[in-house]
Amino acid sequence: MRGISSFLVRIFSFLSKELVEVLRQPKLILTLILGPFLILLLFGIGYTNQRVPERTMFVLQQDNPFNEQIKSKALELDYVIDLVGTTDNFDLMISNLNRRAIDLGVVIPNNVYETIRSNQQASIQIFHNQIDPNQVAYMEYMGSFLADTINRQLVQSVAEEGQTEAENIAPLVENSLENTRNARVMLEQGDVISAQRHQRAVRGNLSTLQLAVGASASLLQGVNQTFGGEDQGETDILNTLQATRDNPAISQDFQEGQDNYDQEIAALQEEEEKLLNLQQQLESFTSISPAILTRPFVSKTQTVSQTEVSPTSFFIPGVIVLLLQHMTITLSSLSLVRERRAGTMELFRVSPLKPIEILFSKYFSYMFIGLLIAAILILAVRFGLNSTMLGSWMDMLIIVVLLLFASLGIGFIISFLSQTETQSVQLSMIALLFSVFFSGFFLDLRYLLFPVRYISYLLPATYGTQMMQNVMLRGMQIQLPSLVNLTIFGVVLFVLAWVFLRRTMAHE
Amino acid sequence: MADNLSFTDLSMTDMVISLDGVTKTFGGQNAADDLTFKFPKGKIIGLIGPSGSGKTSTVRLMTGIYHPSKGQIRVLNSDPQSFTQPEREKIGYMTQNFVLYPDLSIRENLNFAAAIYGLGPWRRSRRIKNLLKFVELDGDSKKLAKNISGGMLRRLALAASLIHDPDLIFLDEPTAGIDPILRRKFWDHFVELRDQGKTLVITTQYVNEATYCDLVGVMSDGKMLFLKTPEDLIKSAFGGDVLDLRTLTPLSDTQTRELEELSFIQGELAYLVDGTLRLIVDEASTALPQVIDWFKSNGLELSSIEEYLPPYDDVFVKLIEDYRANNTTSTQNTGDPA
Repeated sequence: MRGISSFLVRIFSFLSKELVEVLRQPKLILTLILGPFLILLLFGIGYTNQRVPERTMFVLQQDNPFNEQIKSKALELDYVIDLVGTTDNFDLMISNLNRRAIDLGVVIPNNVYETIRSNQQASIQIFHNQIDPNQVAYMEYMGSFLADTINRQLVQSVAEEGQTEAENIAPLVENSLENTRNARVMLEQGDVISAQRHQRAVRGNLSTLQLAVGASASLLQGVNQTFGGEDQGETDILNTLQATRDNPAISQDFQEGQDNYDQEIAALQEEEEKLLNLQQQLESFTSISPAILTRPFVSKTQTVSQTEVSPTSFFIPGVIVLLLQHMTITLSSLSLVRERRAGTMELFRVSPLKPIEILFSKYFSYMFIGLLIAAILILAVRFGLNSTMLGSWMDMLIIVVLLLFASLGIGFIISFLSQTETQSVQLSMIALLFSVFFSGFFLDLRYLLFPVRYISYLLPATYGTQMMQNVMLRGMQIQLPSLVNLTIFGVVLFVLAWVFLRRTMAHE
Repeated sequence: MADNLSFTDLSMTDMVISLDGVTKTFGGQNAADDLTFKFPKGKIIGLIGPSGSGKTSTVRLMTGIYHPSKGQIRVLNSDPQSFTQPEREKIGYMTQNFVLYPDLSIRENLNFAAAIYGLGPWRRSRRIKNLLKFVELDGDSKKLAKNISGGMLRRLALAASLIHDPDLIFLDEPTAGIDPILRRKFWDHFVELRDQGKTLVITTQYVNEATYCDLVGVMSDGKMLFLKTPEDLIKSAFGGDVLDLRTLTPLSDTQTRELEELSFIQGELAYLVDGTLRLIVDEASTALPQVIDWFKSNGLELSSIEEYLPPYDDVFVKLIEDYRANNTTSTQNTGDPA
């Protein structure tokens, strides 16, 4: 009984001592709580998460047939492009890039038609002067986006032409259908001579149609194929026209004096149906907007998350975790180094204190201080910055407790490896640097190669950030694997710290 | 081995500390060299020696901080390496430097020190009040340790080492760097503690502080050269008690030789620069009347005669010089390096 009461007295004496020492350093409190809060506040106020339009210069020859289209399109894209100007001088554009006067130089090829006619793609060249890999990737995306936009613009022009053509050939199809129908009716009535006259008229109509059909036929065919419309044999207009022309009921004059014309009549009916189908397709094609024909799909991205997360809210869990981890590591690593260097450890070695009691007391004290700071910080960002909090506060408490527990272990291990306070601060900073890069704070861990990714799994911040983001921003419950990993990690470090402390306090 | 280390008037149960052939080696150097001695209960034992003589190492061996490379140690009838918590609670330890917390007040530091020994808030409150009065810090208890003087820090450290009312107190140079008045107060405190039945093992570089001790251990090069009462140390240094006398007429050579040949006179007579004649005798109290009688019987008139108590600085210097001289001689004789 006396042992337990002495144990409790010792634990609370450490708590009181550590708490008083921390509270007697107001600058430290300001650094630990107010500093990060102000950083988050400034970030929240200042960060817009909107891309600034890239200052862009187009290099175009004066006689380029696409000049006006490209300029007007560039002006339409003012949310991504700030059109600084156009020039036909490539060197001027490069010079502007080098001076950082522009962000993007776009060179439009001059001989687009010739290149396409020679069955080659015309290349739009994009120049930039970025060194940030993320910006380089964005520039590559911009190039692709511009090429797609210009391609679409061109295809739309072609589609408009095709629709005009289709409107022009519609009467020819109508005539062909009319003459075919008349030829069949005449045959049914036994008037072979009239039927022959209509038959010849159909041949003429079809020849004219074949000549007239150009872009519209290709586009119509493309649209149908892409959208899984009618089967291909029927949608290939030119083939359809040719097959109709080649049908003996059209290509060969009806013979007079036959017993019956049933076979010819059936063939003509079949061709009527094809022409009717073609007529309907043309009507349908001309009724579709060229903009839809050239850009039939648009994407609409939606999140299943319960809320829209602002950039500040997104980073808040990571910042809280990093801050708590760093604060705990620094305080705990300094604590034992100071005790050792000041000589207090020598007093402890003569006193009835056991290593496990010292360690437990230190853990208890810094957990308490950490929880206090975490509570103030989390409440400040929740209500001061209106950060998102969808999950349970109890889950948050569990995450913070485990994060502090595991971080304290790292801090104490650092303290045993350090001879001086400077060394312990340096090692704490290295732990922070590791955490910034490898905890998933701003880099998705999937981008890390697997052997390197293991470093992430040695950082409490990795589990802390994942769990806190899920709880705060997704409203999820704590994931058991992360919880178990963090707990195991903390327990292993506690045992290691205990072994180190026993060695430190052992008889020399 | 120390000379005259047996205390025949004390039984073994009265011994709180005993070392038997204890050596502590660091990197081939002996910090403590073949220490064999016993410390009695309820006494002030001073360990005196020059810097690096092994005083602190000896204290650390006795407190269990160091593990002996060789030999046996018993403190409070236990091996310090396996002290139980209750045994540790009987020991108080004050280190050479201030090792408490600068950001805590005097009272907070004492509270923490008391809590380490498991003293609950109520017990500790009364104890702290008494101790603050004892070390005369009761008016400054709210001051932060970082804002108080060196002397106050030493008093705070002393109070911290006494907070749990230990039976055996190790004080490593408690008076180092503090003024003589405060040093005197410290020793008054130590005597007071001794009178309460506590045993104090105190290291010091101030040789004259030996006078406050019941036993003084003189250390050099990790060895315990002497462990004696302060009076016996003087005898060891000079070969006996010292008598200083002055005569109205100088002694002749014959009279000088006759005086030297008396049985209670040790060694040669010495004339000091002021004409004083110094005699070394077995025991001053018995020799003094015999010397007076001899002068009377030889028709010589004494103008003064008294026992001379040499400063402990002189005693200490003489002991160390004699030890080093003997050591050099024995090394030269045996051919061993020092």
